[in-house]
Amino acid sequence: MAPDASSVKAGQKLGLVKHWQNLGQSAEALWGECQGSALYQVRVDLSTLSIQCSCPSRKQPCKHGLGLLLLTANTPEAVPVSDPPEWIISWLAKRAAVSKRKETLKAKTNAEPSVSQTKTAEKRQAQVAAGIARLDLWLNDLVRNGLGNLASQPATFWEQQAKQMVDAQASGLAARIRRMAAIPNASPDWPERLLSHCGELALLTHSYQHIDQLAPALQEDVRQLVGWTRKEDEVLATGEQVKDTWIFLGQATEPIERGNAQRTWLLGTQSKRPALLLQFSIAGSSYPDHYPLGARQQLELAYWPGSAPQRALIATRHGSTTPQQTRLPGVSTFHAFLRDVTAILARQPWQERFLCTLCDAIPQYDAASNQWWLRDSEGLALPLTQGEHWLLLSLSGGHPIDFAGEWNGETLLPLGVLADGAYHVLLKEEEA
Amino acid sequence: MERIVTTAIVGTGQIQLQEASTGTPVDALAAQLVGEQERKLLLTAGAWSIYRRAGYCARANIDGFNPVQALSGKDIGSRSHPGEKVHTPNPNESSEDALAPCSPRATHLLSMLLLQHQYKPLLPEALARMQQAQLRIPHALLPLVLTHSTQDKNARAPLLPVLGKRGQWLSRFNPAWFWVTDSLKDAEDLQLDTAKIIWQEGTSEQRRALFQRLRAAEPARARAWLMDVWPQEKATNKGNFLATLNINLSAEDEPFLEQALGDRSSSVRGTAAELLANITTSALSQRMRARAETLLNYTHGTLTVTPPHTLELAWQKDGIVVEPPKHVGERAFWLGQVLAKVPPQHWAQLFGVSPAQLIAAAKENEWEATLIAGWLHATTLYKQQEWAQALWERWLQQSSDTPPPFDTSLATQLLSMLPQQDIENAILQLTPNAAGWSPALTALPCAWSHQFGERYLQLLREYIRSSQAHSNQYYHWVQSVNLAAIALSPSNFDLALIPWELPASPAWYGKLCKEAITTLTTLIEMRKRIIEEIN
Repeated sequence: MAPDASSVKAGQKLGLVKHWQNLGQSAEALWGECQGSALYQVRVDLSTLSIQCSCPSRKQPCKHGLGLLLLTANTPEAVPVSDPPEWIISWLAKRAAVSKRKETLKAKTNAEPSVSQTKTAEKRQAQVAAGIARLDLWLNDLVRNGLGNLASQPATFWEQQAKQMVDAQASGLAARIRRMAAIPNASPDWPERLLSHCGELALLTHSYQHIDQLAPALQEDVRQLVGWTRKEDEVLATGEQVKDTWIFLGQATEPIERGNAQRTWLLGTQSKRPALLLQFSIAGSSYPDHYPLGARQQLELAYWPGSAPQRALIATRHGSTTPQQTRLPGVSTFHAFLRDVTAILARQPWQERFLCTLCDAIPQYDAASNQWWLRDSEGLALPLTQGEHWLLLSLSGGHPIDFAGEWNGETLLPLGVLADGAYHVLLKEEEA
Repeated sequence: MERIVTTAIVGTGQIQLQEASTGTPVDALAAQLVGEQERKLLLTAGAWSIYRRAGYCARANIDGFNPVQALSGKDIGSRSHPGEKVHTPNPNESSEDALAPCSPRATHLLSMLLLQHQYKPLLPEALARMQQAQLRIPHALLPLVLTHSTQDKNARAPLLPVLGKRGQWLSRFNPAWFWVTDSLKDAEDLQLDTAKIIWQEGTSEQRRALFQRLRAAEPARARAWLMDVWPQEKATNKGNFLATLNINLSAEDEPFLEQALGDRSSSVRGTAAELLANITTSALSQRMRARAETLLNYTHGTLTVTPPHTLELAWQKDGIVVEPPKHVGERAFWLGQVLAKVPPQHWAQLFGVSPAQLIAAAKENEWEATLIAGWLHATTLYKQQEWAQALWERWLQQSSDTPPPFDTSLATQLLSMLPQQDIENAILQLTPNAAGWSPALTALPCAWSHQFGERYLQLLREYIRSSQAHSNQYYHWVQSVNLAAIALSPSNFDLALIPWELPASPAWYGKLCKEAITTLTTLIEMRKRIIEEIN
């Protein structure tokens, strides 16, 4: 959960008893005072693992918070169970008050939209419609002049069109165009890939123009894909809520315009439903939440509306987190997994990422082509995303393991595995 | 390539016959579209793309084999029918381990040692403790530890016993980690057939590793193999392989070495001559002794030195190099080379004197520097402890001499030939001149005795307290701290961790001392944790 490798190091240094005083923990929280350039008060809310520290560091969580967690994990006897001091009680009370305020807000959003809100919405409708009309003309031009000509186009060619979509308040379409910019010349079959992207984009604008003919759930999908966002409060108030014990399987990050997007995948142990928690870090800011990867917790999730709900947020947390040590509730063959993918695509054709939890999987490395594969119990295999997967191979040792990964239609990105009764989160590079 | 793709690449504006077929059922759907050509093509492409994504199938045959399977002759591609469980054991699987995994806290400790640069020097100690406790590296840390030891060769030997079955198995897949398998192979299970293939076709590093093992196991066969390929080898390879004959060197090697003495490459000739000199019964050894006796004479406490004026061809054939390096006279150069190839104890026997007496007699001589250098080389070549001791005594006296007959790095070499107790005593004689003993510390094995550690810490405290910034010794003290942190005996830990009194001024000096002491105490505390948690 550390923001970068240097924080991990700094945290490990502070994970020794000698740096700390007034350590303590209770059912709700963990606290201690750390001697830095001043005496810093560090507190951890155990239900969310959110850390607060009185130090001036802009990194979140700071090294003091990480140090306290590491200290508690390594030498639990150094952090006695005791009554929280005043500064912890008041902090917890404040946090409770904030979450209450959020709930009041939630109640408010249920009220009827005001006249001015309706007007703003109508104005935006018109803007989006005009933007889409221009986008369709542009797409037609691309195909009329031939995709072959696009190999030599500068980045500004795509960026210009993306900006127009931002101006038309269709940020979803803008993001799709930005992704297209990276395709020309990136692979031998790039014209086919680019054509697929253009085609799916055309299908999307077509669907938006005929949105009344779609089922209500698909209408939601299309609106969201174009760029109409649902506020978190709205999702909390109206989204489908699922209470389950959820496993935090792993995380992937991807650069976006001016920052990074972080995807955290969860799987419901009873419902067997996947859920995706999205967070953004813009211009170097930190992600608002830190999730206990590799652990399970009872949560109530609220899904964004849609025909194949995937994105969700945490509505309420019940109980504490425990490490995931039992087998993953996954499918046993790729056949079953890909059938599920087909079923989802039949409902929501633009879905791009799918959670793959496969039991009894065996990773395999083909040195000759430098390609990593994941093989299922029937001997069928899907390629793993390019990368060094030695940790995966080491954990498996050629034995079947339970695997969690993200399928993008072409390759599997490993998120974590359960091997020898312990779940291991597989993060790229030094994000551990 | 499907028609729809070619049409899109060229552009609908350029093609007369506008065809957008995909060769899939999507075409039937596309036939219902109305409107502009371009729009129709785009929508068809979109549907086709989703059609293919939804119909994706997993691969039944994975390209290529991995090394293990290729060896076992089994095909990973051959699979059972859907729904049927695979019962045959996977040739890929690593077998069960006799070693126990280490505790979660020990695992955490190991990951700290691997991830934090400052702790890396402690890794060999931690690995050695794991071996003692019959533990193995946890699976999750194997790639990290293998990568580390691939770069840091010192960490290889202590890693091998704690890799466990899984680590050995894993290392067979990554070419960068093949050194594990290479070093694990015992001399006994050297498979001659495969070894011969490596010997003929392997990389030079593989061949060198193989040759070393073979020479250790079967000296005669190794020599025979080398003689087979000798005429075709490059000079650099010849030199390397020849030097390996040092393992299990015997009189049986003499004929071949005599042949190598006639090689075109001077470095090969040099190596052959050195090896022959090491076989005391060899003809070359006898020739060298006879030559040396014409150069030195000792009567009534006086040493007479008569270096050769010309170099005979026979001498050159025995590996004596003609051309001296810059600033060295040729007579001295030749003399030194001959002396280096005569066992030093030969002189003591010949003249009936002790090494110390002979060294003392050389003191007045104009050729002293050459004599000392020659004897020094011979002492290291023939591992003569008595001479090492005597030469060391001579080195201690050198401060009054100008110029000193030999330098610090040679002195360190001498020291390392002595038993640990003697080295420690020798170093303690040098105190308090840190410039003198700090390099000598490297001659000590990496586990100091309790007494030595105690004395070292005492001196270090005195030095730091006295704040002798002006003495210019701080560099050596700071250097020594890095070594002490690793080499101090655990019984000295408490002494090392007693708070240190640090000088306040001058500021730069105070900072320097503080950094050095922080390094010392951090590493010592870490070593304490290693001892507590790995057992």
